Amino acid sequence: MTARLLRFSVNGEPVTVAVEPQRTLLEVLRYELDLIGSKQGCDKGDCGACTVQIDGLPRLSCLTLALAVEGRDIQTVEGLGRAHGGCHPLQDAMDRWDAAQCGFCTPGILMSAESLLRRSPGPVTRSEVREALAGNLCRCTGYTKIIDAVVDASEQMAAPRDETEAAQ
Amino acid sequence: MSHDDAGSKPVAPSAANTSGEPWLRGKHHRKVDAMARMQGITRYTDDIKLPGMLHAKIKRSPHPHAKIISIDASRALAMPGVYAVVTGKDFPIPYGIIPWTPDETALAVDKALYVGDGVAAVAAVDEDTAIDALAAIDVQYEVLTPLYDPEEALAARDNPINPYSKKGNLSKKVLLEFGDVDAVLEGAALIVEGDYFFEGTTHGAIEPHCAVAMVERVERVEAGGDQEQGLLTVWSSTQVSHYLHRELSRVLTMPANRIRVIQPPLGGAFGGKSEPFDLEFCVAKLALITGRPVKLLYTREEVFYSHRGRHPMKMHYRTGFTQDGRMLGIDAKTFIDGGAYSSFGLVTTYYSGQLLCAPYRMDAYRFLSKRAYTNKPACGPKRGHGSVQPRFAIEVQLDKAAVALGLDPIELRRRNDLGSDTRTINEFAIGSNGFMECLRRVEEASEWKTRRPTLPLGRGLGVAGSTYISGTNYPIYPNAMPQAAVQVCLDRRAGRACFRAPTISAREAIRCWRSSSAKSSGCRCLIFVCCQRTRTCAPLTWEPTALASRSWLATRASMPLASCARKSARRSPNVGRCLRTEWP
Repeated sequence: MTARLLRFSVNGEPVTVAVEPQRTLLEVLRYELDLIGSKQGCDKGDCGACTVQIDGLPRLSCLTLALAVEGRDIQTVEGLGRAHGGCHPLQDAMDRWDAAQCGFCTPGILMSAESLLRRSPGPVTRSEVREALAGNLCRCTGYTKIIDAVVDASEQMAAPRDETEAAQ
Repeated sequence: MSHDDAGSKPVAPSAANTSGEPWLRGKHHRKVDAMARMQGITRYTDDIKLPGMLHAKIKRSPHPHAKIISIDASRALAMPGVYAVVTGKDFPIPYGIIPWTPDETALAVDKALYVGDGVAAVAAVDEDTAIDALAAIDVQYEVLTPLYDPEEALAARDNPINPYSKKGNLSKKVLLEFGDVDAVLEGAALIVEGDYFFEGTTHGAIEPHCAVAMVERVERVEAGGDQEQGLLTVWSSTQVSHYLHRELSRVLTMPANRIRVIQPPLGGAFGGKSEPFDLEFCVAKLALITGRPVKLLYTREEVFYSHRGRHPMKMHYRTGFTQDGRMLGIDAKTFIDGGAYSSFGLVTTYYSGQLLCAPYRMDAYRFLSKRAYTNKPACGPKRGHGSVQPRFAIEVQLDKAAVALGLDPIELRRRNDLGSDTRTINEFAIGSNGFMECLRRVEEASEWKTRRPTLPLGRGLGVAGSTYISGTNYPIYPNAMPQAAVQVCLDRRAGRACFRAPTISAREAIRCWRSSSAKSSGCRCLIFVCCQRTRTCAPLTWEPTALASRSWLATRASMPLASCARKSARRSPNVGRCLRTEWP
């Protein structure tokens, strides 16, 4: 099929890429733009490993045709830490809570969770986290530590902890 | 245990070791590689992209049992963008993860044994072209009678499914008896008898299997070597880089020192990637034929065809008890549905009986397990390999005995304490034993005594015990090599480089290494760490994805380094167990 030019924004940067109409957003991100953080687990919308944000909301990039994001703003896990010196508080919390084992589902979980935290004014509850992560499967870690980490990150972002005090 | 919103807040782990803090044994440490995985930097197998790379796909049988009459790939090969097609006849040498049961081929040679069995593979300029080419490969089948039930398969002796099976459809039979089972059951006050069926599960790792192969031509002609074949590198999402290395050499008839297997970080496996699969042989063969790098990524559907998940088991159990709830003996008969190939089935068949003898004491035990070939995707090892299914049967029997004898289920299990510093009926050595402590804590934390009688219909509290072996330290291919190793190299400025083995199961070994090297003042160069959970022994170069196989390590290891490590190990005897420091 004939490729068409697609213009959109990835992690705040403008991108122009030639795309065949049957290509998914995930394929364009991974194989054309080399943004390998978003993962293909099932390629049919079950596992959530491909979750990215389209205009700030979590979306399954394996079920999104690339040409449908013309002019939209896409955020992937690669851009998550940019405003935070490379490491978003969510990533730090997930690391402290040991919430990423093989790490394959983690980018999708981070994108779902970040969208939740940005839309929530204060700390989130465990049930809110469960609801927000309902579309993300994890097979190694188990969900408890992931939920622990997201709740912890939301509290830190609401009222940053004094690390020197915590160390004592 | 879930934390409720209103419940007490869990305590955040220490934030130690974010930067530059020493690694100390006994301290909480962050995972060495988790942050890179979370930042999307880590390169898994499908993230490898090589110049000129072709994409491969496998054509799979639509029939559960069918003779292959002919395969005509001429239409596919004539398509623009198609580079090569291989079939089973291109690599007919059988292989198997267990050296005594080589009964599968990279692609079906004469017969397809299950829906999804690979019959041909194509390499093309991109995935879409490869998929189109698969449709243009014409395969003529003669459909044969499929067998799905293990008992039916065993009865159909004249219809063997697997061409390499020696006894009809019997893949493995184990009969072992410890003590006089018939006598103890004769004298039992209570016999609990029942049939139990476990349906099977798959691993469902989120990362699908993927492999990439690359061939580097070499000019140099070596005596006895095959200069035409060059050097083959295979990246694979495998748990068993060494076994893959070995089987690639065998099936491709290439010397092992011409093959390098690299295991990139894995996106989950759980036993589902612990043997060679068709995709690794196909990419290797197609790369050798075309001279270009070749990648093959399974679809999720293909992951289910490859399977190797937990075996379905039909279990018939008879267990005898005394009036006061002591277990006297078990008579177990098990039919195991193996699927089309042996996989780890020989081990599974042993495990289906041998792992039942703890944590409860018994006077006698007999098990008869038969694994059958069926026309289904092959089953294999999954977490708790072979022990989960029989555990389900025996724990249900214990609960039934508790009801019949009017005993609390925890109390019944307590009365069958195996104790510590003892041996099970099948001669497993037990050192310390914390099972009674576990039961006590579970009883307390679950508020067993107060909550259990008051729960409404449809809600309940249950208890089950289990056990698993560790420290058997037995490699599948008996040899004197260590099961895992970390090789440390000093450069001219006394900097350290670590060649290590970060399979998922070896991550603890890396942590152990980092912790122990931090402690080892006085010697800059250490340490061979052994991790019994790990079957690989692979060095990591500083390429982001590189984890090469043993033959490469052997050529790199030098005697001075080995002797240095030996001295270090003597100096710090507690920093990991040093099995062997020189290479044979």
